[in-house]
Amino acid sequence: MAQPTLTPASSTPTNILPSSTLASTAFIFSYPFGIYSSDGPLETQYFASGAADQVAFTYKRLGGDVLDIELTEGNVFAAYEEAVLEYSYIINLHQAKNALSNVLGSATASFDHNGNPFAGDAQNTQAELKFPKFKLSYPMRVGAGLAQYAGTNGDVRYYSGSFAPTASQADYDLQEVISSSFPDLITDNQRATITKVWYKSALTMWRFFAYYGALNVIGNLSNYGQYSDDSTFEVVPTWQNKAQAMAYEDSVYTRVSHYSFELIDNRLRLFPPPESGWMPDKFWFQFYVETGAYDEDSTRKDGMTGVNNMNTLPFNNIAYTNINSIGKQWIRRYALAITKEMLGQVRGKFGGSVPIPGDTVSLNSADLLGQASAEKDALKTELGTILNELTYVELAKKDAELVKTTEDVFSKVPMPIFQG
Amino acid sequence: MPDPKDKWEQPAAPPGPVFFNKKERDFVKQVTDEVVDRVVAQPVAYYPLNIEHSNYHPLYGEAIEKTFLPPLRVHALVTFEGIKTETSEFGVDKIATINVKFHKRRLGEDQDLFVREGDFVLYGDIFYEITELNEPKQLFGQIDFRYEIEATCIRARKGKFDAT
Repeated sequence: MAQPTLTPASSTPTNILPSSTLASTAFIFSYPFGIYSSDGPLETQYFASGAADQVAFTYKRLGGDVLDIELTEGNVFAAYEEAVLEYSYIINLHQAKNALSNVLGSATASFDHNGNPFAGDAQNTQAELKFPKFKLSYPMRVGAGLAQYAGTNGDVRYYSGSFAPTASQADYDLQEVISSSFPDLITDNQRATITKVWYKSALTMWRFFAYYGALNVIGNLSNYGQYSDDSTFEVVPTWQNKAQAMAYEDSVYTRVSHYSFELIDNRLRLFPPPESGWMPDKFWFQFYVETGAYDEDSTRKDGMTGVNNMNTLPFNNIAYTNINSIGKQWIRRYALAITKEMLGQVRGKFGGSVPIPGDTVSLNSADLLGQASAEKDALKTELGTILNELTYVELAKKDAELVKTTEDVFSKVPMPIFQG
Repeated sequence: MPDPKDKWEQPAAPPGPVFFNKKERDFVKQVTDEVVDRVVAQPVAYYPLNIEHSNYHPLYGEAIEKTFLPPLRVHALVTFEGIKTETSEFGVDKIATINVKFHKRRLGEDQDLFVREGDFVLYGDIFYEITELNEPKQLFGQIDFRYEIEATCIRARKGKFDAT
């Protein structure tokens, strides 16, 4: 049914949605954000084609060939842009869930008013389109912190200091030693933590006679035993070899040490107190200085200024040409819902009732607003539900389930009897 | 001395309506055009009196024979109010009346037509004479924007007007 023409035409400016429009019109239209249109950072002609098609779709879908739709094509263009951006937002949220744990500490960027990265190491990464490597970023961060407290390095710098013992003196002020040796190291009441104390004997050597005090093992602890007095040797794995070496070192360094120590406040107490006649020239200690959670070592980058949460992920708006047919259909439906909302707002300004000669006419603004709200919610819920089922974690679970199910199936398959 | 930005100045003219301005009035016209012209679509033929070619009496200003301009098709909301029987010293008479509500802006702005008493309208196949006019409503309460012309029309006698 063709829309009846108003004859004579109204001389008053009217806002009636046309039945169709050209992509060239959609291309030059001034969009609220202009992200995908002419001169936009993600400009593409295909966006204009999609926006133009949306006008025809809206016109038919809302019955524009029967009654007027009091909107302009510009309203539909703007709705289309908003729908694309909403889709991009939801997809990027989804991808943030997938990727964040792997990219914590990675390079980030500075973002312009559209959210597009324009500066920084990650400005051109197009991270929103990439499949990240599995990096265990946060567990590694935790591990580094734990390693510090476990005394296995971690992410702090270790220092060593020394002092010359005095005969018959058991207590030594390490705070004083550190302050005199490293006058600028400790500031702002930072705490120094002592991790190891040791001394060197005058003729320290690798013990030739190992545990048993006899020449029964000889070698470099890697291919040892070749010169022993036995004739059969067990081939052992490397980890066992290493564990044995560690036990050996532990024995040499600790069990046979002459001194032990105790830390009391800033003081190191040696036991027994060094005695004149024989004592080490120096006692050494290893320590690190506690740093704040946001103090980064000036000599190296450890990701402190990189991605820290979803907000600093270097995600751009998804390029229009990187949205597939699934996304495009969602965008059409969501843009239509937005258009209904716009139309409902227009028709509802007067409470949904417009005065006409002798009467008032009730417009369907309430219906339109209700439909728009419900449709928008339903579309977002639908997309969110699907995406939640497709996170990397869920995909791994599905893979595991598939493997298990396949095994169950195969377990029911009768084995053929072999006849030799 | 007070800060200049705190100084109150009386504007040269009062501000226009805040909530209902030209866009809103045009929107009402657009919807009314659609409802009256396309949805309800009750056409009437409007016969305006031709003032220039009617032969007016030079003293009394009356014209026994009136001349009318070619009719215009206009859409309006018409209410048929029935046919009443009146009995007088001249006998029984039947009077049919209709009430026609014109969209004032549509007629004035788009069709260059002004509704006046004494003009005739054709509704169905019967001619009616406009005997009384009223503009009862203001749009959004704005005195300059009346949007409705209500015409009370009485069936014309054959001898008075017959354009057939």
